[in-house]
Amino acid sequence: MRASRRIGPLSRYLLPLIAILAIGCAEPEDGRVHLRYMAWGNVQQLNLEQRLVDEFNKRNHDVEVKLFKVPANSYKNKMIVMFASRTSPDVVRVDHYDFPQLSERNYFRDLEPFISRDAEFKKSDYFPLAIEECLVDGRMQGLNVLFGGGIMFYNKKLIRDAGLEDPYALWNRGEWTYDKALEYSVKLTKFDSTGRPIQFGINMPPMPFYLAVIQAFGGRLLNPALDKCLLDSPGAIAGMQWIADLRWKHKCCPTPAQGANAAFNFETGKLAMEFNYVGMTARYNELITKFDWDICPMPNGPKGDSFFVKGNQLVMYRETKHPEEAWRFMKFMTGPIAEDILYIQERRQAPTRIELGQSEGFLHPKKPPFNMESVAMTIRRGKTLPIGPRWPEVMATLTPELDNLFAGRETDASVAMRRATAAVNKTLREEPGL
Amino acid sequence: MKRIAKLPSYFVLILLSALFLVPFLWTVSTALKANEDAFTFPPQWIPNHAQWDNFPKAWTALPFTQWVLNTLFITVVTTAATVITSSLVAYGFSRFKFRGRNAMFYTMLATMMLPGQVTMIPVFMIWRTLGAIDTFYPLILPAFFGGGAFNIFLMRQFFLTLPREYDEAAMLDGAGFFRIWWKILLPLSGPVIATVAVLSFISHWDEFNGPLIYLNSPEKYTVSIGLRMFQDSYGSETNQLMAASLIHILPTIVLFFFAQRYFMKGINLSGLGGR
Amino acid sequence: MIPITRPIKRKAIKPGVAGFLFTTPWLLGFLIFTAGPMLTSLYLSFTKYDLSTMKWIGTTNYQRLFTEDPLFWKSLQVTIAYAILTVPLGIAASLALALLLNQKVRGQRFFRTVFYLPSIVPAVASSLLWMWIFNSDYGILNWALGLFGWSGIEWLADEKYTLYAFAAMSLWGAGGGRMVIFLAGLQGISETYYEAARIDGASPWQQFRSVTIPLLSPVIFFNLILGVIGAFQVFTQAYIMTGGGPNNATLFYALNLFRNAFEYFKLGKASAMAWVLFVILLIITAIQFWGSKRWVHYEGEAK
Repeated sequence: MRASRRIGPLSRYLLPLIAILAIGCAEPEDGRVHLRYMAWGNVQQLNLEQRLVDEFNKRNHDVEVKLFKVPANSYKNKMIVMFASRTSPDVVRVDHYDFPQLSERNYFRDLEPFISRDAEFKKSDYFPLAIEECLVDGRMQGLNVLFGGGIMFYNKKLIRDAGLEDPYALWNRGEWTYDKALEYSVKLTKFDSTGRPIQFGINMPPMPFYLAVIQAFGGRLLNPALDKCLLDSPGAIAGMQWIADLRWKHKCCPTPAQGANAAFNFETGKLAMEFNYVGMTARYNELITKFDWDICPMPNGPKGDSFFVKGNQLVMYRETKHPEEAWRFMKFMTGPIAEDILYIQERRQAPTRIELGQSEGFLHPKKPPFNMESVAMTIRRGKTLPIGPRWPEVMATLTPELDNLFAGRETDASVAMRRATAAVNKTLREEPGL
Repeated sequence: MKRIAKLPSYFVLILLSALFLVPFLWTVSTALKANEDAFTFPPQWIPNHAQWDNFPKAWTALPFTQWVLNTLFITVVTTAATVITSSLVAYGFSRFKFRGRNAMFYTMLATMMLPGQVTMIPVFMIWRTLGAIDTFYPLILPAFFGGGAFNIFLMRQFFLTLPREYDEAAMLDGAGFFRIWWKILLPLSGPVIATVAVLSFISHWDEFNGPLIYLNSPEKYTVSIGLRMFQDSYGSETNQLMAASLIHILPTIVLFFFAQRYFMKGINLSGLGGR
Repeated sequence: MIPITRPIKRKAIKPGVAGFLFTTPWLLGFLIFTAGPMLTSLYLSFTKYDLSTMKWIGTTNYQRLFTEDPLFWKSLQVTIAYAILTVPLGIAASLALALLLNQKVRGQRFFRTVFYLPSIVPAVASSLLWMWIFNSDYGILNWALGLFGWSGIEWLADEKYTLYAFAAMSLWGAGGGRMVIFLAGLQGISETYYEAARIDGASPWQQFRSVTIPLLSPVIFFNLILGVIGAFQVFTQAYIMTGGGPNNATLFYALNLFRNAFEYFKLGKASAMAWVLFVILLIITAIQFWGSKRWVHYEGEAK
């Protein structure tokens, strides 16, 4: 009697609720193969991904791909939970920063068997650097998407108004050097009557653009085996000093505080030159309406160019139940139709396919930037970044050390770089995972 | 006379509330600006051209209507479950003596100090074993297990202030324990129910980590995931993020405004020291 | 003490069983979702686990944390400094606010909502918001300070100031929640105590000292404990606003732990860090309980 009374309200209110919950969770069965694909991005990028997925689904009636959209700043967290718990989607887009680290944990399927079986897929169709980024011990574990590299964006209006010659013209004559870029930056920086900066000559995101600069001065971050830091070499010190001097000596580049909150982002029109990824093109095309702008390769330094490439990898989850369909989808996402949408219509990044990279549509677009030969040059000649499984740790060690130099507590790059080198080497000597 | 004596208080209160409102007003102001107008000096409080369409733009940029419905469903169910089960558990802790009660109670309080990040993967594995990934279960069902130490604690503290004579009277009338809880304690517990409901509503309405980890299909997402999609390394749509955030907090403001009279009222916090 | 047992004394176990049954929802939830995972993480803290291989290494993780990990100490120091900075100040400020509002002022509902508002703004939005407020050249904070002749402090880029910036944010974000709790506590203090004090000729300050503070002390204690726990779990703001910088000045403990687990895949070490944090919090709370006997006044404790 009492027991039944006790359960009374429970059965009356809770059980129907649980029943309602259960209904909402059934999977549809329609005989098609259901693939899951995960990617991150802002609203525009995710809408574009959805468009590509729709294109694939339209062409493949036996497969239905579903896109998992994840906010950018939580992507790695979610990806790791899914890989570690073996609930990963069949196809995942992985930032190259994380690719070697995740690959080391055997989350990805080796793609070589698919490649050797598939007559349609030829490695020679792709830029060698786009292939190189996807190799693990010489075998492909991913296909490159959103490939690209570092480039210089410049505000043509500000440069014209200052009476300076177009940097791309200088580049074509072989005169676009770091000395020249410094001279331009100083001339293009303006302050108001109270000394508050209202326009800066140059800016760049920290990593990996600092590495691009030191490359031109003959420096490198790590040795080829990625187990030793080389930032205390003369080239690296010279490059870092060049960057630090921009801020603290010549005051023509925003300090971290001044540059915070996008106050001097390129699209504001208050920045004359910017080193950034080719991929900013889509955003700038959408946002910039008040001035004309274009791109140019990053300057040449005393020891060479600053070209580097970086992409994302599409990977196949090792334990996917539908490898053949997943491969078909990955091939589509890096194939001519998808690349045409991504890189020629929407201009998100640079193509990985040589044919497209040399096409009229890519090299001679109707909207800015027009100097697309700069991009073509970057993806042909650039270097890949020294990203290994311990990249996140190396960066976390390096960033506070660089803060000392770039936030102005230390003005001598040789001192800062010796300290940074010691710190990074200490991190690299530690046993991984401990 | 008395009113004049309070003038300084009003002065301080208005000053402080202005201080508290400044960031909020800045949110409103930003939500109405074009992205490139966000930075001007001196700060521009009233945008030159109020872009009211930032609100519909932000709302339609992502399927927010669906996500609001999902969030609402999760929030309402968890809030109801939290109120019911936390009061049940609190009833057990406050009205009965049994072996191990105090040990259990202190263990419960100690769980509040546990950092969630490290139990994240093991808990995730449990839900995976149960086949509940990409469903609302991992977000909803935990609320049916007492709804968290903090809420149970608040409920217990309130129950301790209710005279036991009521229970006894009901008992003499032949009421069972369950009936005493349902007919005597709950009707007297308006303030604590309001408090637990508001706190639980707010925390589930804003929760980010759970939905991020457990939900995969975009049609099941919640608003808090959507808000973060305005942020990306390729540049953030700050004005739209602010606009969407304002819409997002509206229900909580309304809820708090009306529930505040009862909020935290009559909850005797002295029992933290144990009794 | 428990008169309800009397009428059914012959089946004396029954209320006990019932009480236990009522608590089973929590107990089940605890066993499934807390105890198991906690033991798992305790086990992991004695291993080297990088998501692909797991190896038992005894107490190595703990030893390394204490003896050769400067970042562990740095993050602990940052977090403790932040707690010392924000908790007492936050409690004092919220209490002052609650006292002001408790004087039966008009518009109480409005003020209460205004002060509570910040605690319901989603963390992403408030983080971005504060980055704008703190901007050294264009932020409204430095603009306002500029009116008084102070010039550009780099709130988030200069490691001397970042903790103060985070403290200001916490006063804004958590102040209202605490205030509401204080207000409820104040409204629970019977007017008769004040009347008695006034008859004895006590000044407002003496009333505050001898009536308000003692009767409110359990609430202060409650806010103190929650404040310390909250301070040790600060994460989102640091993750979004500063990423732990500059020069690790905002490397909060929870952020450091998160990085070790989900960026460097050192799950064994991260589990050890979680347990160290858990034990630290337990110790701090125990000390607070012990100390509270001297100043927290419990009504009817004599019974």
